[in-house]
Amino acid sequence: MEQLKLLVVDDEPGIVDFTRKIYSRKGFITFGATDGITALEIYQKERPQINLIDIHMPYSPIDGVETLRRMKEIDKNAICIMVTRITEKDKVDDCRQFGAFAYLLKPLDLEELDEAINAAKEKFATG
Amino acid sequence: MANPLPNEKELFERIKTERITVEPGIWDLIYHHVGDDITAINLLCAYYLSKKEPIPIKEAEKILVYTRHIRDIVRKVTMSSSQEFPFPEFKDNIPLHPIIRDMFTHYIGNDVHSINFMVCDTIDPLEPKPVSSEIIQKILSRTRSIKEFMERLRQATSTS
Repeated sequence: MEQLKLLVVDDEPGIVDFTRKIYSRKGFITFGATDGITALEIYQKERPQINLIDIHMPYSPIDGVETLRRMKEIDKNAICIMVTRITEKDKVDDCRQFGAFAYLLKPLDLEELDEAINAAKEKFATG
Repeated sequence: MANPLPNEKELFERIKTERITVEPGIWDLIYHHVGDDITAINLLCAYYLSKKEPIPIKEAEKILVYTRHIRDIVRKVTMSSSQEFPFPEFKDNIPLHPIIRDMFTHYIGNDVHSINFMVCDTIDPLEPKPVSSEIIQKILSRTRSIKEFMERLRQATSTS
């Protein structure tokens, strides 16, 4: 069975690091970026099937919404799970408009993350 | 979780009847900082639980960095004067109502203190040990408690 690729984009390096470690153990090939531009470079080269993107990245030249928009320009079928805060409802609307697959709210725990990643795997498998 | 304040019910009732609110920007600030720190602690703990291994001392020290940051944010948003508040755009909304300040310092403060205590006690330089799965579960219970409290108070202050 094809090993799926997962890209984790978050400006908190600890979140990137441990999400990658967790999903590497679950059989994914993982990539990480702490800003949107690096994420797009990785996306262009590796084409990960599932992308987990934090919306609010104040230290990134582009935020998560713009990262999603550009990723969808590269491949309209990119599966993107957006991570946001409950206080960012307007951004969720923007993500919906650009075709995000799902939304998760921080603070996150592994059960919520697993559920979204499994749904994304299912989406990839069924097209 | 942090022990409920003895007058918790009354405090939530006062938030409702006195229409005590917290500026959305302040919530945004809290969710951004505390949300990232709690997420990072949750994932670190989940990783070692999934490996069925204790958290090594070096990794456990990262938890203390996150809890220190949470404490710092709570200290800032609960300042009694806006003079030293480091986020100028929200200075007009500081100080928060005393009830809100008390609740933040009690609930988040106690849970963070407990996490700190459990980790520091385990990795104490005199007899350092990795953090066991039993302690990891207790840490996760505290992070869940912080998350639940934040959401409960956010809802209470946004509908009041």
